[in-house]
Amino acid sequence: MLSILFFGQLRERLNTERLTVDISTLVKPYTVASLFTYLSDKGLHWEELIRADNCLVAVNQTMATQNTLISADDEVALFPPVTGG
Amino acid sequence: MGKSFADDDMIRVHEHDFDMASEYQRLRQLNANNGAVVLFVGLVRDFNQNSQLNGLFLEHYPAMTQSALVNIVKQAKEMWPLGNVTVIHRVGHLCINDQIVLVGVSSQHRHAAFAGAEFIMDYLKISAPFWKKELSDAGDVWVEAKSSDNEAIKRW
Repeated sequence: MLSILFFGQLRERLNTERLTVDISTLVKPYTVASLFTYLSDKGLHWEELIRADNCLVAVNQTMATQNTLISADDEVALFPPVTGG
Repeated sequence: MGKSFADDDMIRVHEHDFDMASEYQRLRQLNANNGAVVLFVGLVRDFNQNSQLNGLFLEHYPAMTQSALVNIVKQAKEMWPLGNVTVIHRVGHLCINDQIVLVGVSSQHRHAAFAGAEFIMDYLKISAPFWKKELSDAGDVWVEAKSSDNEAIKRW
């Protein structure tokens, strides 16, 4: 199963820390973009927050883009721009 | 002077406080070739995007934080002849005036140590997966990323 993690304000606004998704429910080819399409279908609120320009994504703890390929057991994290330091 | 992340370089992320003096002594004693140590400590201020703060809450992405910080240290070591590097970042609830972050860099000469420490802080600000929430009586507010932080890295 794909593990989808949410952090910071995104986690709070979606009221979701973690989801698991069966990759076969996504549209092929399996990319970050197809995962975003799946998540956007969860509701208007989801679509608005996930499609925001400042929503960042990491696949297996490495920064990724919409075209990044994903596989069955990957960990995908969505989060706003970082504010540490 | 190795270019890659060394066994005695140190990255720590935890809730408890750190002691700058002992981190300095550690860097000082690791390698007698180093003639310079630069230490930076970031603190929680009492004002920010909100007017009066009671403190901060810091969240991070544990599985990614270590590798993100190691990558930043590696980049710094490719740019300057650095000795050892220490990066400590706190998470969880922090009060006004608490220490948040420490970056310590040793080197043979001061220029590389100063530049390396600044570079590491600049990149930590834009690429290490930490998120700050400001806590105040008026409500808790997630800190927005600053465009000036993205500008800051252009000088490197």
